Amino acid sequence: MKSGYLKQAWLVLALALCFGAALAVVQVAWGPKIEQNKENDARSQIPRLVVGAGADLTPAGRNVEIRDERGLRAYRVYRAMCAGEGGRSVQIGWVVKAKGPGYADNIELLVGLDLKAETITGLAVLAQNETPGLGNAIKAPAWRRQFAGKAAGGRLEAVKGTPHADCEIEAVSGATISSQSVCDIVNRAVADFRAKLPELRDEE
Amino acid sequence: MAKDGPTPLERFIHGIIPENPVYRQLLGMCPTLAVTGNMAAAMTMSAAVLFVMVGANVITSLIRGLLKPHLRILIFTLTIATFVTIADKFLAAYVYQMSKELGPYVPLIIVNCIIICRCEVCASKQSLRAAVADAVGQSIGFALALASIATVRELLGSGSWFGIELFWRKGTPGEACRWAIMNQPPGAFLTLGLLLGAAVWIALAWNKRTKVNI
Repeated sequence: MKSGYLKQAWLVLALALCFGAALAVVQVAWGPKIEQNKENDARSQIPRLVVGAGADLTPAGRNVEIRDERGLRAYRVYRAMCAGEGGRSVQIGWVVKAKGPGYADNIELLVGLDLKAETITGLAVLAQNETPGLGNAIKAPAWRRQFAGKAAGGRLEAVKGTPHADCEIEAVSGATISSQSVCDIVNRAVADFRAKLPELRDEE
Repeated sequence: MAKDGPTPLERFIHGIIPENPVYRQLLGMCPTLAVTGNMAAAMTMSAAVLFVMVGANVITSLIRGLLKPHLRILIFTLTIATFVTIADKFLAAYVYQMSKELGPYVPLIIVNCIIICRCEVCASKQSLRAAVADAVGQSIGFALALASIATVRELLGSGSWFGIELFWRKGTPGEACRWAIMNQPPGAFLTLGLLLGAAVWIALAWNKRTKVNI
């Protein structure tokens, strides 16, 4: 019986092996380039995240990996630098790259924070595969702007209709789950980051 | 199974107008509606479809003698998925912004019915030459269809073509004179519907005049 299965399916298995090998070659050849593209894209967002667009900012500085107590979550952190007096660059904020589950697929965000990580200064969406026409409205600048100025200590909630409290974000209509997912990712990333902030500041 | 089927040249020509994937077969509607907001996106999608279709047709035609009827769809899908992944990685590596703009629609080429249809109808039954001619012809047909819709939508929605501001638009102030709905999903449905109607009308008029059905 077993040989019967093999007789039926050998072509599928052989093709799967060949195609798998071909894709591995593709990944080895282009993987680093794709990662570099993503990294450049993330860096190009930083000036808009920490202060207003067109600001005199250079996305420089070291990246720091942060892991929480369970060692499960790792964030890439950027120092948002600004040209200060005498050509020295001064840090004016932080940008945390966070990833978490959305409605359809993982959502990747950049969260801008002020120097003391007390206020969220901006939000950018690096990657998302939410429903076109509904959930993908989380990319819209007008929606993301709601996050700027929120206190970093609180828990953000997505609500239907007009928000009444400071910690509320108006959900994209028809996409409450996508909106809440973004809030959850931001909440967790900011909380994790704030817990590790003293260590990061010591390294300066 | 017909022994010969149409010749490679016939396959090539059929794909462009008489059996146009979008206007005559109504296949591949998802990219047709989703990525025709501007010419650059539509042509990138067409190029990706060309690559995937040629690849899938070549492999399918080469192994057509080994296919088992009940496993053929599985093999088509496996082949198509491989080429789509290669196309997706290529776009992400070399034209990253375009890859971001197309988003999930590049991986969705896997379920584009035109490709699996061509594997089934042509490549699994005909020689390599016919399969390649068929893939290229159908891809050109698909590209022309996408170009027609994207031209209308980009001209009306953004006042540009391939991102180049058209001369009579130069100096017009901002967004005021642009027809925003053409950039949005309803614009895609409206344009496709009207162009499809026009295509059928032309075909009927042609049939009447020449007494030859196309």
